[in-house]
Amino acid sequence: MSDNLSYIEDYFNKSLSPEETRLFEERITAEPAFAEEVSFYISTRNLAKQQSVAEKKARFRALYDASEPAKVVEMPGSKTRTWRLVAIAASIISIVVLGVVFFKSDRHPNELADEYIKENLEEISPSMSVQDSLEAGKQLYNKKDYAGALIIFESILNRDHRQSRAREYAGIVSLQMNNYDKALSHFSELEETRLESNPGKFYHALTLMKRDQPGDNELAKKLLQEVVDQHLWNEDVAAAWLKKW
Amino acid sequence: MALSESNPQLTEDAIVEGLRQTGTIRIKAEESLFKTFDYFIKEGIRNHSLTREESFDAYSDTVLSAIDKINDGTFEGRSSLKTWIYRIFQNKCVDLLRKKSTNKQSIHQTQEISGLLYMLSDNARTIVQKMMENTDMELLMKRLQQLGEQCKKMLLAWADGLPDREIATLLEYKTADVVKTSRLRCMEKLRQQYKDHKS
Repeated sequence: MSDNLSYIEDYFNKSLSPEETRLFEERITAEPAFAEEVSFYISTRNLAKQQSVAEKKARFRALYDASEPAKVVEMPGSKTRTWRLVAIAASIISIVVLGVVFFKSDRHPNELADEYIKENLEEISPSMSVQDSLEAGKQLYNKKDYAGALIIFESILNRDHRQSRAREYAGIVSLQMNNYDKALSHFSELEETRLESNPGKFYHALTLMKRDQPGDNELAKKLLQEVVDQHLWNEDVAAAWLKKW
Repeated sequence: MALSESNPQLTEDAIVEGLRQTGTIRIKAEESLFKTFDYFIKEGIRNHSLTREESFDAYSDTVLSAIDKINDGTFEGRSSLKTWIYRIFQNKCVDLLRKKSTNKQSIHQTQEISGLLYMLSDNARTIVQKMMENTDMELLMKRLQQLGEQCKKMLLAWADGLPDREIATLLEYKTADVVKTSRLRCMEKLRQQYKDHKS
């Protein structure tokens, strides 16, 4: 084990004498390899602190969401409660993927959003390509380490804001963390990107349906209609939801 | 009122005392602190026109800042916990509004300016800061995740400011010296793995 780490720690714990402190700082300017070790020590501390903060915030969010849910109560007059029980019994996956309407009544948009997220966004499929940052982020996501995954995806974007996959995943992670503003920001930016199959508008609508604040459902409906009209990604699901709206 | 794991809402004194402990008592104190004043979030929405998410972020940052300050002795108990936390929260809300209005929000800062950096002399700090800007934080994060749970827990506890003797109690090590040796070994392992994949 390198003795330098212990020496570096003594410096930051203020265990060195004034003369030893001066020699430590001179060594940084004279020896690039030593300076790099000091840089690594501080970077590691920063990263570990970031991760610790992210984990605590996730705990606080769970506490707050449990006591102050953002959802709105079911719309008056709807039969969503009965149909929700029917849906659970009737295999939700095929219904959502195929967009087949088994429901005879309207569904609240927030329930549609919850169902979609549970069935389609629990995991991001890893690709068989060489391990890279995106794959690492996906692995963390699939282990439900959302805070860690978000750090990776946003770091990719910080280096290159055009990375559409990283932006898509950053939006999805933010949605899973109920950080709707951040999710909306990522998905809005994604919508503006030229892609062969752009999921941005659909995810934008999904996030609004999940957030369910005044005005959100109206805007979500408008976006879903645009997904259908413009033949964008997931237009079949958008069409099925519009029928149930 | 004595500390009790079955009582989620502790008195202010009990919260402060609990935050200076380790393990589950500290976690309960952190959660109790959060829940005791979480009505500030609605005030942030109402008084500063923040969204629910923005107000939640400002309040979470407030609680985390308060925990750090209680542990480093900055909070001396001259005012009530409520008054003090409310003041921090107001400042966080104002900072957030200021960032929004100047449109300076970045997706993610590569590295926050660390207090450790400012302990160095000017020349040394300039050199180290430049090297830190070239650190591949994604790669470092990946390697941290692959270090193993015990190393990861130890490094997070250390970054949180827990002294080695408290980490020893928390993670069931014999002594603080054993913790220090293990922790430096974890860091060296992390550094090797980072260097191996970077080259």
